[in-house]
Amino acid sequence: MIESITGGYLNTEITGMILVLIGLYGLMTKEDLIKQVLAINIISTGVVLYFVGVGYVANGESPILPADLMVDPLPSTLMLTSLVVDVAVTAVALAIIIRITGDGR
Amino acid sequence: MIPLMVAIPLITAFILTLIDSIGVKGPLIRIIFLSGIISPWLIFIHLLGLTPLDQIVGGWQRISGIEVALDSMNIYLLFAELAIFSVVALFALIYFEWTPATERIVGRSILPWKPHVGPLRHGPIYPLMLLMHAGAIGALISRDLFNFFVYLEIAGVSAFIMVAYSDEKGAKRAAYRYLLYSITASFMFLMALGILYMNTGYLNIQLLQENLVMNRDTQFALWIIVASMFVKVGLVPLHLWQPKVHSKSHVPVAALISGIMVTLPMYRLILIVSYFDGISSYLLMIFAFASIFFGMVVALFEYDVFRLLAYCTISQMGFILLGIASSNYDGALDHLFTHMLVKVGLFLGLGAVIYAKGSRDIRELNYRDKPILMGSIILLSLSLGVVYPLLGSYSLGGIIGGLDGGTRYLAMLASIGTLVYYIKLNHHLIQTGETEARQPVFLPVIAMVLTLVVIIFTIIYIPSISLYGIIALPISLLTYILFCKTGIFKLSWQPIYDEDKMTLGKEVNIYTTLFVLVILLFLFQWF
Repeated sequence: MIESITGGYLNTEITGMILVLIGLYGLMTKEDLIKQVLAINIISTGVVLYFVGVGYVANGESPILPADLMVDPLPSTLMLTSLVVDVAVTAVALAIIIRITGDGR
Repeated sequence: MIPLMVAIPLITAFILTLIDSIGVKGPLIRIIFLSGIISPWLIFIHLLGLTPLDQIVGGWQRISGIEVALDSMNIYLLFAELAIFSVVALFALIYFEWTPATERIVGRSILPWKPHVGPLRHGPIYPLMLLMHAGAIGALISRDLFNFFVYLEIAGVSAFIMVAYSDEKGAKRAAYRYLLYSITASFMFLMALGILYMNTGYLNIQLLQENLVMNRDTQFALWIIVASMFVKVGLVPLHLWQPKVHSKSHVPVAALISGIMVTLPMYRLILIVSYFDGISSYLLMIFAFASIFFGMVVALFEYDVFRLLAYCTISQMGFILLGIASSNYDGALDHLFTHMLVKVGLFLGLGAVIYAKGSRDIRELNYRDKPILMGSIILLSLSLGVVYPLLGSYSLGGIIGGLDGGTRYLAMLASIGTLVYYIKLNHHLIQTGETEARQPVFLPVIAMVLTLVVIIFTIIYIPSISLYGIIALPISLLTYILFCKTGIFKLSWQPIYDEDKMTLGKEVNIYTTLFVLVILLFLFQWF
């Protein structure tokens, strides 16, 4: 169904990039601080999706035992680290937002 | 052996958090903290004789492992990083554990600090500083771009929290701003890494250089990396986080951000531009001059000490970018090294002055009663311009000497401007005022250690004599006198971008828009 709308051009990488752009749009237009943190999370998700797409090989095996044609495991592994960064940053941002009330300028 | 330098502070940070949570107090925490900060020195000195050194962590092959290196590109920066952290750690111990200005007891104490009873007021600062130490060392030694991203985030997250720990009004907002800008840039950087990985299959900078085929994709990825590093360095027009972060946070934290957090992305920028030649110097040159002159002009009219230093950082980073743009990578690295040491020395020295007074306005401060501190601040501040035979005349003189034609004269003009605002700063500080005896004696002494390091390097790297190096100081003195007589410093001006009338959310919107515009500019430069 989606294929028929996009004409086969929509793959995981492009979806990731679109998510990044949506996140940037959120950062550019939304004034609410919580929404900005959510926008950062959307950007992060987009980047993760992009990397997973980079590592994907059509019809590839899962890279547990060496096979002829495998999915590239490295990008997905890198993304585990980037997710940790994302979680840490979100937590810090939310903690700062809680304390920001009455902070003055 | 090299990765151990990162591991020790990381483990120490963990131990410190652990023993803090089970209620251990007092000197044990300070001793563990200091040993975590100092111990990378042992490995560094051990490795010093073995350079240039190239290792893959875990003994893997280069294509599958993470490469760390210690060679002529980063050994000086690593030395400066270790020196800065050792000095700032000592400074922080006294700064945080001495009772603050409002409740201070009049008179000098025999002890360097008044021992605390009860939990540490700024307990979490110590593990955070260790984390930043680990992140900074890691980002300097790593030759893998993803690994660099992770280390930069370790250092970055601890920096955000440390800024937010300040009690100053507006510190939380400054931290939020810094966090959001910095992390947006980080994710764009990561995205660009994805494009590079898709094209080559590597993230090691050496292998990337060998395998990268320049096309529209990869060039765009490199430019996104440049733009995101601009955010983290704080170059015009993406500098908006810098002044607030510096003026709202504690003195040691501000010193670390100006000395370390700005240096790491700049070093990576030098590395990337020197490895890949798809980056045009023309655009970089424009951004460099924008930063240099914007920082200089604002600093001329600034009266808050730390904001002045922040704008000076922006301007100096412009000079370093100028070195990169003219392919003078050695000059850029030299000046990065000078800037690190000198700027942290200035922050700590002026921080000691501020601590005694409790104000940050240079019209209310003075260092007349502390002659050695006065001498070291004057020496350090002149080291950022081209004054023969100070360190700046070697490093900044090297960058200016590598330029040609009109750009050279523009850079000379800007370096004279730098001297003018530092003469203004020192002129205000040297005037007599009421003396303050209520200060921990050790604070200025620690601040002066970095001056000693700078003096040693000045003696080692004394440059060949040049006409410009000799006449720069008299010219800037004359310019300063001229500015005073004509009353230029009395001008008040309305900033176009009024920070106080805007909500925090709106500022983030504007900043992100600027960032996207810069990326679009880079994207459309080929049309």
